[in-house]
Amino acid sequence: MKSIYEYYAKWIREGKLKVSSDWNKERKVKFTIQDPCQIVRKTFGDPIADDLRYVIGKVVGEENIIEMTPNKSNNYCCGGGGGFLQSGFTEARRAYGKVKFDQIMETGADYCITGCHNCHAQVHDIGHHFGGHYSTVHIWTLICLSLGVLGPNERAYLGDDLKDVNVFHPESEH
Amino acid sequence: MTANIVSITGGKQSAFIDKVKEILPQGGNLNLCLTCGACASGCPATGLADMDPRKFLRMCAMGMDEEVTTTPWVWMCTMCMRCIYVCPMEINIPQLVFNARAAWPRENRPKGIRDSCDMAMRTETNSAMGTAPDDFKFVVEDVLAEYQEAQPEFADMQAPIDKEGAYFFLNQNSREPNTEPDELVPLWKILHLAGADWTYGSKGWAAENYCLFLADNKCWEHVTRVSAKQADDLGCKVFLNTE
Amino acid sequence: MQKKTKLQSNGSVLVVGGGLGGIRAALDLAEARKDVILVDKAPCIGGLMTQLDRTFPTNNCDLCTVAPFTAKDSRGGHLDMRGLTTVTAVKGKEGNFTVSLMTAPRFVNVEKCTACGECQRKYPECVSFAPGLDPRAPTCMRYPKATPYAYVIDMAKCADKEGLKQCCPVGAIETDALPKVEEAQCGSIILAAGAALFDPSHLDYFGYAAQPDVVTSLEYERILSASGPTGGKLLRPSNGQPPKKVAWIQCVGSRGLQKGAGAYCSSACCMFALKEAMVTRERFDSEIETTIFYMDMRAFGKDYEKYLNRAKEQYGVRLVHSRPHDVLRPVGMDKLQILYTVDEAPKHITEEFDMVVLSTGFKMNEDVKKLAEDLAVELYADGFPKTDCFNAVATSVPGVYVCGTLQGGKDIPETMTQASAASCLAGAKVAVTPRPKAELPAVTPECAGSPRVGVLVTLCDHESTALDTTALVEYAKSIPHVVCAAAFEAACDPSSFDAVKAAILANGVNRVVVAGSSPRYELEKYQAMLAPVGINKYLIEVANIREQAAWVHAGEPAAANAKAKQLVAMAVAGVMAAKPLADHVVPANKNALVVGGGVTGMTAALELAGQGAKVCLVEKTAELGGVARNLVKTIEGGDVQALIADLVEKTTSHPNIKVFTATEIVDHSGQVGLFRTGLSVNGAYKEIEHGATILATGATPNQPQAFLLGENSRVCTQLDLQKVVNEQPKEVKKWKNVVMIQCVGSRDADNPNCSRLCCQSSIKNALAILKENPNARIFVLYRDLRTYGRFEEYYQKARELGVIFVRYSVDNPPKVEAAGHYANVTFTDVIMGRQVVVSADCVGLSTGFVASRKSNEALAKVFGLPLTDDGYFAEMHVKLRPVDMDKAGFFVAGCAHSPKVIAENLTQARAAASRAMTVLANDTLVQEAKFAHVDRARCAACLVCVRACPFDVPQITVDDKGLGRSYIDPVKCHGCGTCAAECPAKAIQLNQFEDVQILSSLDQLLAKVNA
Repeated sequence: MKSIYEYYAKWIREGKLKVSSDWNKERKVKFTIQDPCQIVRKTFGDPIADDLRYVIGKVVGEENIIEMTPNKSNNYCCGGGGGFLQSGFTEARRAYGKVKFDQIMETGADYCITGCHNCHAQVHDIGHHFGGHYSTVHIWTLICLSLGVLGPNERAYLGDDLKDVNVFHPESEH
Repeated sequence: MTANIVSITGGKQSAFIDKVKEILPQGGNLNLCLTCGACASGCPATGLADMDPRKFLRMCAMGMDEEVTTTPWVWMCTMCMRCIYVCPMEINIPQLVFNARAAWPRENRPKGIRDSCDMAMRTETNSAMGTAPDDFKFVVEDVLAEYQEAQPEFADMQAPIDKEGAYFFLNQNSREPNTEPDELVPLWKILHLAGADWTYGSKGWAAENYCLFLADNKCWEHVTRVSAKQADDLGCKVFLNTE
Repeated sequence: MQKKTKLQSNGSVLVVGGGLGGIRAALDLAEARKDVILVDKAPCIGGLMTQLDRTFPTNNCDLCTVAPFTAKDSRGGHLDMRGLTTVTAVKGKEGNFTVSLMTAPRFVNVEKCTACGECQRKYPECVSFAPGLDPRAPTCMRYPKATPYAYVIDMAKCADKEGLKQCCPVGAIETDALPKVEEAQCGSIILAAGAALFDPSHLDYFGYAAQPDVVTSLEYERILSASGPTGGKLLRPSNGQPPKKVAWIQCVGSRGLQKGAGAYCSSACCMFALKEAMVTRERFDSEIETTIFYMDMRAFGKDYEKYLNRAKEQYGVRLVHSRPHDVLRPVGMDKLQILYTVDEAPKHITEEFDMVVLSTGFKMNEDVKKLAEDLAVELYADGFPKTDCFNAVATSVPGVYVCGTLQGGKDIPETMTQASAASCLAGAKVAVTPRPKAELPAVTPECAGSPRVGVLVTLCDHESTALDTTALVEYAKSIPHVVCAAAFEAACDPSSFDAVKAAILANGVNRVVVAGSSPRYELEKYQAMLAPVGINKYLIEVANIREQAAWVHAGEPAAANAKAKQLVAMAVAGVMAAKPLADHVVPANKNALVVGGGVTGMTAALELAGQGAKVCLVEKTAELGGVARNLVKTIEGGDVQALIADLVEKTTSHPNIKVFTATEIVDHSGQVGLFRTGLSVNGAYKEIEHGATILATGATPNQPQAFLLGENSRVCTQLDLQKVVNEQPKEVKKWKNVVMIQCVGSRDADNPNCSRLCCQSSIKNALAILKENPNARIFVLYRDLRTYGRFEEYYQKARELGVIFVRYSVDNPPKVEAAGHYANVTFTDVIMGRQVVVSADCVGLSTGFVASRKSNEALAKVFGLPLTDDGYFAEMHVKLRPVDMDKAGFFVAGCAHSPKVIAENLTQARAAASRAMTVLANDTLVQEAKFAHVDRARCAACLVCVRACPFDVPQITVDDKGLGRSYIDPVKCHGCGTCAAECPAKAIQLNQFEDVQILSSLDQLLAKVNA
């Protein structure tokens, strides 16, 4: 059992994925990272969180990462895990997620990168519910963006600021 | 207040916590609590349902089984393990919570989780959204064909299902094939550009496991075995978690 | 390459480690006239304590208190100290070890080095005065008064060897020096190499690695220290600003099962944190908020509970029962956030702090562990050595002893006690080595000559902030007959001593006034230092401007400075009137008196007797054994009854021990080396002579009126409970619920201190109950669970077996009510927020101990000894002299000192024996010249002095002219001065305190008033 983050990092180091953060040189769009508990604290620890940061640094530019506090192995669970999303305790789930929301807001980042679907759904929901201005995006979307291969239909979670950046085959939009 | 008094009389009875201790290695250290509060200090679920991990463990230790096996708090704890991460005694509170969930009659457990588990049990794909093997195959092939054509640079891109001997066995959250198939594509592109040798399984591809969250041991074991068996049957080397 | 030589002095005991414990052990041996080699891998001795700023509970710097220990002075040639030296191999066994020692080159010739500091100035990047915070540099002086006082160079780090060599004006730098390998024979070995401290770098949630403002307790200590990186200013490492809020987090690396923590309690950190918090408020800024986050406040030592109360009540140190989850600093934020919770409600609290101190515990040092393994000493899994359950300093290898933090985390007094105990056992194996005594210059009237007074102002920076030393020196110079005056910044700095000597010789000074701290600390040191330059020890006067000016007038610089001047002027006037005097040398009595026939007294007696001393062991009751007779087993499983039987057998059959049971002490006179004590043996009077006295009179099990004790058959003390478990196992098997209540009659208004042993004894009893009856439910209601050291592991074991521990607050104590067949115990579990009622089959009260006040008071009166407020015997220095008493030749051990468990009592017994041997080893006794003498021409034989003397010394004797006059035997006189004060004819004068001296001082003080 491996986490794909490890391979993202490996493939970038090996030159197989020729990612570039040039697209963000001028824009300076800021990103923060939600470390998934399942992958980081509960399974692989800080080394996988470091891989994740290596990948994101290469993709958006290290200087455009703003960390939440705390992070990596000591991060806060967002509240999407353990079935909370489906449990019906919506109010409690959002109360739980308020800490995470505040942490994200405190970074001032435009995007919160999530690697896990539970996190994605929860971070997205609390952002919406508490009136945050950030977008929630999968890591793979950004990798493809930085590779210049992200088509117009693969941008559902990008904000308006990135909808038109490096569009691959814009004509294929449907 | 009187109603709240805990009365301890008579001989010791086997309590919920004792049963959990029996199934955990070293009893999960459940008896070792120093009541220092480190867990409660850092638990994101502290305060929900007037509970926190220390209080929950304490009530278990005091044998208040009725309350600990009915508090909805166990469904508000995500078992994220921030508690055990700093606990001086390395007490396995997440497993205690898991077993408290399991102590609920299945029919009383949260419907959303239960339905998702039941759905996964109904199909070999493990999909909590009930996606059947053929439906998955159809969506994958359809989306792949569309992109191969629309983006000629990716004309050779593959999204194999049940490819024997592939190096990676990939899982995939049901949400993409079901509700946002375009979101499947970036992952494929990355794997394609990296030259990875991978496959989905027609069985057990779904990454979510609501039966685990439901604390339905039989079901989550079944779901996990389906995935593992498919990866083994195909002769894959690495089970690659895409979450 | 390496030179291998046989060591000239065949050291009889090898002491490894030159920290406080090693120094104490080595000095005890040397003072008992046994040869000892003290090695330390560091360039100079002193160990961890020298890095501390101040120590509890005195909150003094105490560097100067250690200074006489480490400064190069007379040790009779018995002590061979070697820095930079490690033990590379050990062969042989008890009585005949051969050890290989390797001394790394210092690259500085200690004999030539003048400590001028030129190398340090030329190579400033190479010099560090701040161990702990700054990285070590090639040339390193660890603390201001390092002994031996010389620099050391790490040649590997030096780029310009030739330049370094050339810069030394006296050619003391030897860049090509090689390590030296030697072999030594020794009879026994004491391991005193200390412990390492837990490194919290990997605990990401406490932020130590990432946040400069998160420091360890030792680093905080360095920040507070005058010799630290900030020169004694309390500043945040991140921005150099003074902090407004500082927090401590306890038990970092102790009491844990994961991430490298030890399962044991490190024992010293709670007091350490309290001290740091108090000093922060006392010395830096009383507005700084100090908060300690703790699991249990373990103030279990003698009078430590009072210290804890003082921290809370007097200093406003805030204590929060909570272990925080995180120390965070969000990006862009200047302050640290601590995330914690409280017991009362399930909620998060986030609070901001400027600095966070992690109270990191002790870890076994890897080097030391390797040496212990080489010696085949059995170790626990955590690396600390296993020791005997009745002998905490004896390892599994005969002849190899341990003490201090190497044996397990502990504070300084316990380290000192263990060190003396180890020295007692190690020294028992080796013989006394005779050495000639150094000759002192003869006392002649010329010593005095016409008065030329030198005034030395010697205060530490951090103690004299209120005093203007420059002005004081100028003032001193203006006093008639003062021929020189100078200020020396650090009194503990040996280079100051050299400067002082030079100034005295240059100015022809023959009388000296030292303006510094207490004469108790200063006088002996300066007497020893100035004797070689010809200053008679009675021509030195100390003006205590630290306590009497700087401290009492803290915050009032004008008053403090004025007072300091007056004190100096008075001292000058006094010393001008002083006379040179000679000490008396008399033969010493080499027997010992041990008072108290419990396990402590018997152990002390046996150790002394084993080393050849004749011992009188006096026991008040008819039987030996003391309170321990009520005990069955120790928590470790040691058989107490077997111990007692063994001790009684050995004591009563030892040819050197005479046991007097049913015996009381009735009178006492004399002084160290020459005591006379009257006994009432079964009512018959008997007088004995002895040179030293050990008090081991124990304490009394407490029987407070509380929780139906004595009224309800279900309620008993832990001592009773232990008996029931042992004698009525059938009864115990029937029990369903047991409740134990801690701190009954301790830590309250009547008995303010912690009885120390109750927490472990309730756990011991709980484990014993569960052994008989695994289904019993046991609740232990406690305030702070004080299972320090390895007792923590029994606490863990008890929890593992299901014992439930519930904290109660002193404001909301449990209630015990009779309920038919049961006793109902009602208490609040704060964490659940619920009341709990237990129908208990047995309620065990941890009633602890109280001082045997009545008998202690009687003994204190006979012997002239001080007691503490709560009636225990007071030691000389709570930190550094834990078994010595104020009166020379008296030592205290066991529960007479303060309550403690058997093993600790026995350690103290051995320590007291070791200290007593330093007295009994001397064939002669140097008596101070401070005694009263009678001018027979003025004496009217009025008998006032005979009646006034508390020691019955003056006698009317008939001289050759047939006249009856008062005679005071200088040997018997205590020098108290009562007779001199009472004598109507002023015929009696007390040497060193003659009327003329005192009146001169007073005249000086009142000169302006009189004018």
